[in-house]
Amino acid sequence: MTETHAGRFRSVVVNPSISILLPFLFLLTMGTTASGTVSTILAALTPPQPDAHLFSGWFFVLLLLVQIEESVGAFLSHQERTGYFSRVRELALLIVSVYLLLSLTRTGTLVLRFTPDAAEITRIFMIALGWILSAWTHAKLGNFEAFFRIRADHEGVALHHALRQSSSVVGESRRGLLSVRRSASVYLVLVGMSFTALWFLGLPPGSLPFAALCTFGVGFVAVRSALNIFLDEIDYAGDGLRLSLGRIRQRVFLALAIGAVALAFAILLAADRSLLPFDLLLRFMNWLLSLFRGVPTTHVLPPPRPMTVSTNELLRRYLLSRPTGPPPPWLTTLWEVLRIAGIVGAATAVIIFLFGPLVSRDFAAFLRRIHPILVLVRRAVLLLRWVRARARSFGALLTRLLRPLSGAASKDERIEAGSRRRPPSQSRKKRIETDKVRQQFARIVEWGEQREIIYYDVLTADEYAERVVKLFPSLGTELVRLTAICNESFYSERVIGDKRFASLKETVDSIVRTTTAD
Amino acid sequence: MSAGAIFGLIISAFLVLFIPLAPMQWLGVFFLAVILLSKAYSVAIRRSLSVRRNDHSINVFKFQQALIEISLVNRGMLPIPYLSVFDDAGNLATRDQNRGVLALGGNSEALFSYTLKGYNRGVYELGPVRLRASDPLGLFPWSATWQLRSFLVVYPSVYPITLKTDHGVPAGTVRVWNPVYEDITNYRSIREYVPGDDPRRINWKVSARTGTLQTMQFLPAIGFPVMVLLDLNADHYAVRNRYVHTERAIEAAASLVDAAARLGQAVGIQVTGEVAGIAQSVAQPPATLAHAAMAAQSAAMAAQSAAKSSAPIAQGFPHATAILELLARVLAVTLPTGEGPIQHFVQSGARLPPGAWLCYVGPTLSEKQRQQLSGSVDANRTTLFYVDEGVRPPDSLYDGLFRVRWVRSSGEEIVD
Repeated sequence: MTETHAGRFRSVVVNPSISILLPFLFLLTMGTTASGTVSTILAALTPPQPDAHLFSGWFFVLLLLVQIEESVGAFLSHQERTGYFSRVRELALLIVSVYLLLSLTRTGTLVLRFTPDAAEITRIFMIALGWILSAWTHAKLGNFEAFFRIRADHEGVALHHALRQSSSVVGESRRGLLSVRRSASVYLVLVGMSFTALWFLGLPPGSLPFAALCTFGVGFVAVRSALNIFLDEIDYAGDGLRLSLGRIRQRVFLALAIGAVALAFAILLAADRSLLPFDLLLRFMNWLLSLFRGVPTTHVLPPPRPMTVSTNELLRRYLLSRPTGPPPPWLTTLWEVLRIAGIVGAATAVIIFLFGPLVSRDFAAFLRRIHPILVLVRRAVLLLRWVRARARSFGALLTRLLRPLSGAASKDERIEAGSRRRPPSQSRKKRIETDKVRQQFARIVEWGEQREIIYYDVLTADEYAERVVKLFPSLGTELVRLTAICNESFYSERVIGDKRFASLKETVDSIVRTTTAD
Repeated sequence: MSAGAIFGLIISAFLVLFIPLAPMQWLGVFFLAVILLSKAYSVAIRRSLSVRRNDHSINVFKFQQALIEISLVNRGMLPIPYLSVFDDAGNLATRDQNRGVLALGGNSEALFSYTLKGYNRGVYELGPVRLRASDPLGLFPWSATWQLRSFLVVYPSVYPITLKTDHGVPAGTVRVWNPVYEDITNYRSIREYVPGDDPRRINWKVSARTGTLQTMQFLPAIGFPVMVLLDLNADHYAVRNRYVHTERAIEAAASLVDAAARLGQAVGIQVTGEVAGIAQSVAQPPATLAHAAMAAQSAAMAAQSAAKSSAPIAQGFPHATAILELLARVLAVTLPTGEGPIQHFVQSGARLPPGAWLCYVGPTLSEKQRQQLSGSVDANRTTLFYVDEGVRPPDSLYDGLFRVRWVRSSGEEIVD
């Protein structure tokens, strides 16, 4: 099947962009919001720590890098999604590497340099959370690329049959989209409820988490509508219908328009005051409680003022209330044995988990294939071809607009214009030969235009020869031979050969030698 | 509205109404606006859409393609990016062409069309039309069913048959060379008198002017009404390939009707078979004039199906078309052995008009049936079109009483 410009654009630019940008947008907002929420809660429950800001900037960058790598790198390097374990392995290796690298910049003793504090552990936890969300979403969207590939090569009944043959891909793809959509909704509700609960508890989150929440709100609507479009696409494809890029574009523009209007409303109407006083709700709840007999008359109180509860304080109270005294010797020995066994076991598991795949056969095969580089090269070549084709089309359009039916084109421009109309399936030898024939024909045109026989792009060689014959009837034989060779070269798949080309050149030479009109 | 949307509305409204924090207000207003705008969009495009069929009845012959067209009009300003259209074509083979996705701009009209091919004769009901669309964000998808019905009448295949035109009644529409059938309403020329000419044909004025007797000549033409008796008593056919042979008999009868109608002759038919109705009836009350017209047509068809499966001898293409429609719907039925169109025709005492031809189409007649038939009709004007069931005798063009032609069980030449 010959790939059209639109099809190539879609396969090279649109589909990878969808696969990369959509999860990235979703994950970035979701991960940032999750981190903001968790950090707000932790900040509220733990006392302030002076060293908390040490790695904060770097770790924020790391957080972004992790998600970018997960969104972009995973797509480019793996194509198909890898499993959860390999994702967690990547996460652990990346975090440990970056942490060790950053620890070198610290001051103090060697042990202190590499000992993480509570704030850093919190941020590592946030990074891990964002990563896991990314990996999960990517795994869910994995089959969608396979669906794209199946759909790209088929249409109509053939598409219907192809998807039926790959029903598992379609089913998994649809389930994945639905799952991501559902999880995004649940996640938004959970985060919203957390923020509201924090406000009720008198612990309003900072401006950064709020900004992240608002961003996630917009991203959520965008992602949800995109997922709806994809779901529609799958449903229509199941019926053998393939949606054109123009229709998808139109729908996306309309969705953006609705989103923009909603955004404008939100910007205009949002303020630090509610439409109704919160006391009204409290009074209503008190009235509701008073309707039930036997319930003692209580009053629902407004949200308390912000207060900080320290887990360290709770821990200290617990330790103080604990009975004192040395543990029995057998317990101490058992505890020590268990501790050493636990450390050894954990270390062994971590080593096997992290570095086990490096000695596996699959990894060796992966190295042999050098798959990521091949994919990158292939994608780059396709992209370059698409850009070149677009540039040529744009150039042709500009030329047509600026020079409508004028005879002022140069010889090179004519040859180039003829090359653009060439069918794409010609061999290299045929292309070179056709260009040479075009050069000879361009000589005739140049010669003719010096005698005011204007050539237009829309004219064929025959039509132009007819105009020439009107002024130069004696050249009839030569022109017939010329147009026969030109037509054969321009419109056939065959190579005309050196003899015919020599004949053509000789004919052109004899024509251009004619300087006077009959 | 779905439960999720209602939940989102409640949460958003709660945030807007009671939470005095700008970010939460922002979020509430944003989601509220998105939900309400999407809902309004979805309802607006649903209301502004109207659908109609371009043809309420389509008649085609077997294996002929029928073009089905549905017009979709968006009277509103809002464009509809995706509009999925599905026209229920029953058990007709559509090759999935009866579904599609269209895009409709504001105040615009689109035509959804596809082709059908009737592989079996019959009357088929098309519709309803099911549409599916949603707002651009896909939050409020809707699907609607338009009760637009139309009928596809698939006539049996018609093959060329040459009718014998040597006998008939004068003053018909078929030109012959036999001067016996001169049509005195169809003047041709004047020639010199030849002894033996009818004196009434002498043109005295011209004779006086020329001095010799001149006789008027008229064009000879005959008419021969055709009555077709089609036996669809399944019991009369061999069990082997019974369906094929009954279908072939129906196609032979249709070909005879078509040939007679093309010659401008009156034609009638009598069938022993069951006339089937339409598989699905129009149950919904008519919403528009078009629906009312379709309901009336459906009722007429139902009434026709209940009527006797015969048509009197009459002239004209509309009458021939009605007979073809009857043949499109008739089914073979099991009756007591011996009961067939011959018996009905003889027992009814009906008389054929002068010069009429009788064509029997069906399996080979028994001796008793032949005797019955010979006592009621002119054997010279009767042709038996026997369906070749593989038991054809070698000397078979004349059975002693009637002229016999054999209906082939396959091929484009339907009779020998």
